[in-house]
Amino acid sequence: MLLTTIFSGGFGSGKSEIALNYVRFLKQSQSSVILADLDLVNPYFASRDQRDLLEREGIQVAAPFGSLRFSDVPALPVDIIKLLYGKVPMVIDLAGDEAGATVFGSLQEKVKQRGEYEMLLVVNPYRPFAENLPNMREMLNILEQSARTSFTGIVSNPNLIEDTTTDVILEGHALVKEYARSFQLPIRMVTVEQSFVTQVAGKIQEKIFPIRPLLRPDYLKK
Amino acid sequence: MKGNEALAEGAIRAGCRGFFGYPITPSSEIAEYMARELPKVGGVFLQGESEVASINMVYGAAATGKRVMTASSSPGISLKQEGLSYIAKAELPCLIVNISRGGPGLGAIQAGQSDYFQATKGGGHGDYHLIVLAPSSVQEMMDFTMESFELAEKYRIPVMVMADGTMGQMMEPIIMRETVEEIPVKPWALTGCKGREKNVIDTFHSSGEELEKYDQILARKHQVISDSEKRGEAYQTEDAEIVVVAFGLMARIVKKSVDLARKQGIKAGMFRPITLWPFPYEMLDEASHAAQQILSVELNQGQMVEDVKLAVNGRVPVSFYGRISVLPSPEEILQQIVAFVRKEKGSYANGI
Repeated sequence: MLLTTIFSGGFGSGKSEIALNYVRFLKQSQSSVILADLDLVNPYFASRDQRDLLEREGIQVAAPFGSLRFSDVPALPVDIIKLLYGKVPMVIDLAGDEAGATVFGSLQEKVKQRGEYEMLLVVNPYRPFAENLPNMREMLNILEQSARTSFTGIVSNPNLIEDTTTDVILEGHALVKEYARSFQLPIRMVTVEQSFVTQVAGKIQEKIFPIRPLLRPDYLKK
Repeated sequence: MKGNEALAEGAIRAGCRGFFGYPITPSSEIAEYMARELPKVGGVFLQGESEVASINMVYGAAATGKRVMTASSSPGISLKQEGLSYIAKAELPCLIVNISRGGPGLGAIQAGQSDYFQATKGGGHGDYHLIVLAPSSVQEMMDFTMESFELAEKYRIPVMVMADGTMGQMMEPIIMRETVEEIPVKPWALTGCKGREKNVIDTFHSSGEELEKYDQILARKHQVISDSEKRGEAYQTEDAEIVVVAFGLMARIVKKSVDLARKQGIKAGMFRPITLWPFPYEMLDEASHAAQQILSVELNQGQMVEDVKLAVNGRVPVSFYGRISVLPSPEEILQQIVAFVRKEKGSYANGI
């Protein structure tokens, strides 16, 4: 049984939104699930912002809390080691780039010991440093070295936030497929904002995972 | 792109080839982006041992006439003030970025606008001003940064782009601007004086009369900038009975509040200063011609509100609503607008 799902990737690739949506999806079929927010690099727009919502839904949240939440010090959630020894399915939201992946490097042995895991590379090909294969390969290498773990799959997350169109999704996804072929990694899911799901349904072969953005403030919406 | 990334990319596209800084949340992505990208275009990224060191590196590098910059956040900008005063006196063009957080002291790393006084009323010692631009979208983070280098060179003055921490961290799709290919030659720059008279860049005068003469030149320059570079944006102010004034990201939030108020039949409008210095006094005065009330909304304890009062010079009552490092929602500001309108109508009902 898949016990740990790790979302890693570049800054702003969409890891936190995807981790939030994914853990809520898991909760529908599991009695207990954990979201571990290991974004120690930057506390802005972090998945722990939705702690109240998740806890109301019965999802356990492991995240720096209280005064540490915005303390700008790299503090791991106090209970993370204890939780890794347990067998409750866990979704891990890593911070962007190598600094975030390094945090996982120190925990990777325990993750691997606890059982089956997926280490997923989240790719939004419209982000800086993810727009072509050489840059993406550089990012993949840095992340794998820092996390001391190889990726097991890719999450294709092609979007331009409010400027997203069906074409934006399809063209972006085509690029991610090229990356996946080159890295010889399977695409585990294509994340699409929920209003686009029916429009792209017949046009994407891989599993589509609908996203309801939770971290974007209303005042930024057009 | 993230705001910080768009700003850094804009600087490179504008021809910036020197970045000197010291990382601090929430501006660090600018340094990270420059560290990665500047060497690729033949530029120099240098992390100084401190903010004081890095602003003095900007001072030296700007003297060569190259486009150079630094970026920091509030406490780091405080450390740079001495160097900034020197750069302003030496009349050197450069870009200073403040991705501001809450203060005073170490404050908090969440968004803040409490550096308004520091940015617009001096900051360091002596009589000087910076041109201060306040973007309110990720697109403007790129556009204003690129424009800053032009303004800085046009007037030989340091230009500051000031945006709060959330602006630096938030993501929006943007249109990339064309790379600037030709950067003007500066006859005043220190480039080696072989075959020409030597240039001297200095900030010291041994006689009071001489200092006064040069400071008057600075003052005249400030006047010219003040006369020609004021910028602001008016939104729904034509018939607005209440005008809400806000800058940067707060202006985005206030725009939503104005839309909500209009849906309730309240004649609300918004004015956003784009240049914080020079402050667009006349534009605000004009935008509030129909107003019975002005409300200044800031992420501080009331700083820009002083300039707002100067703009209307007692013609309209001015109130203030502030939060510290907590972004108010559009609904929260709407409540303030509604409260004012109710008070006004109540007064009319009482025959006042």
